[in-house]
Amino acid sequence: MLLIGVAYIIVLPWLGYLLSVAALITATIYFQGGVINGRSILVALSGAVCLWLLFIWLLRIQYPAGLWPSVI
Amino acid sequence: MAVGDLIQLLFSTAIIPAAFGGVAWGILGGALPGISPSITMALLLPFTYGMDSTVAVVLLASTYVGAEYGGSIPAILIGTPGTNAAAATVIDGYEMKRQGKAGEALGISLYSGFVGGLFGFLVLVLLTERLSSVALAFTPPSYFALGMLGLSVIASLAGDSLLKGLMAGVVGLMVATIGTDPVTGLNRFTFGSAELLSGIPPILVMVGLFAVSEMLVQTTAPGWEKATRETARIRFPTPAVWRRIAKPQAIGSVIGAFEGMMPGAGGAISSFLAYNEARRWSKHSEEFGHGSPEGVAAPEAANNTVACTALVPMLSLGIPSSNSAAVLLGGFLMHELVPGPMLFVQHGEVVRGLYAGLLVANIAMLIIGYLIMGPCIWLVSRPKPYLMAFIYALVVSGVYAFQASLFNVGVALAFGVIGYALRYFAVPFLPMVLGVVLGFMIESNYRRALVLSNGDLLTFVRNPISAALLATALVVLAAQLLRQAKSRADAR
Repeated sequence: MLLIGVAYIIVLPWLGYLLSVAALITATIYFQGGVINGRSILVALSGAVCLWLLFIWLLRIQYPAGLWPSVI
Repeated sequence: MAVGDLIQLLFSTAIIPAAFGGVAWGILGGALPGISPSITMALLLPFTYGMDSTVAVVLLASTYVGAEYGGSIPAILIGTPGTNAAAATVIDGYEMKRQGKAGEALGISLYSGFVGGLFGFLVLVLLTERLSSVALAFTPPSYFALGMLGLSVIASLAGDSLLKGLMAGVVGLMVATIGTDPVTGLNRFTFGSAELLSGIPPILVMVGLFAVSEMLVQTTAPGWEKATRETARIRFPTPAVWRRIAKPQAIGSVIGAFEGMMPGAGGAISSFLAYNEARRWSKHSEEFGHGSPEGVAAPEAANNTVACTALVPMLSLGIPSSNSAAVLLGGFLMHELVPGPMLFVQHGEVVRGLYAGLLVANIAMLIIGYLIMGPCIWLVSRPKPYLMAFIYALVVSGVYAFQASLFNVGVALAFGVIGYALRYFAVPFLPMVLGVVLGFMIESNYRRALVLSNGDLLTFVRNPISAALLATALVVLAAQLLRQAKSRADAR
């Protein structure tokens, strides 16, 4: 669990908030004994979108956007 | 406060939405087994940073109120208490559910929580300001002694080992020394890190110790039973049941009022005491343990009373008597509100707002408690890995949001590891939290007192208030040592 958190800190500036938090949710589900399948990935993505809406859209917190703006 | 002022206060700020939101969040958090009221509050702390201070403290205090009721939902439906304080509710609540009376048990729990909460609210309003007015005569030596008395609470929180409690308290005090020296302005234990110059905010310590360490513990904990939707339609008590549960509610409320103000007692002890006393005074004591409505009413009234009365020593003297009160104290400090007598003078509007918010929260608990049952059951029935993953994501996102700092996320994770180690070695971590939140007050007033007295240590015993507080702290510690020695002798 701790390593997942550390990995999140490392990848957040590169991947941006949405993908990093989706990856964190997926990894935690797996570590907590869940199975990685289409459903769990869908849960991770929808969870990430919910948190994105809460923190970035509603609370206007400035999270790292990642490399995406430069790629796009 | 006049009724007109109260109404104006309620509608001029976002107190009502904060109270409703806090109660809803508290019920949801309390309904999740393993997520205690303090964890539910700690999860919310980072979000309150940018809020108006009155709204922030109302939100946190309402979460405490909601979580105390929320804990009874899984206790009744799946026989697993959502919070420690709801453990006593399992005995008769789950038995009532097995007899097909889950809705009635939930209704009794909600209604008793409401009654207890209102009683606790009255005690809070009547006692807090009077107690705090005593502290108006405080000078730096008295504040130092008050901090030491606060730390002596460790003695009653340390469980079987006073040594472990003191160790955790010292670690907390050490953490509080990180950052810029309050008197000389020199940097201490910052290791060249600019992020550590302002010290480690108590919020990171609390999120790490309470929430992150719980995530680590839950990794190896077994899953919980699922609740079914049809078992959970709340039914409020009939007049006959109403009359029957009035006495246990009164017993629970009175016990909760006293225990809430006692350092270290908290909701769990008060609910078991209330359960026991309700059984002793009941005309139907033989029904206890077999689905007695009184067995649900007494502990639920007690733990909701505690949610209000635990704020009496916290608001008036700045001494948190429980984990949840410590987290609330962290919320106050985050908004630069220092509990104690000056809080009522300098930030009277925050205290009045908190009172108004708590009143609304107790009423909101009745409404939200009824409406939120469906989402609660849905939430409790989610697969545990999904739920834990989402909470973990919420924790790391919330900690980042506090100061937009990834460093803070790392600090919270580090305290999560420390919290896990403390749990593993059965070291209570509330003493450490106390050390962190009281550390600055103790150190700055100790040094200020010495500067004012030209380094004369006797200033702490010459000042009558300081001397009395230090003596009380010593008595508390000595009493705990004697209790330990006696229990060791009894064991032999």
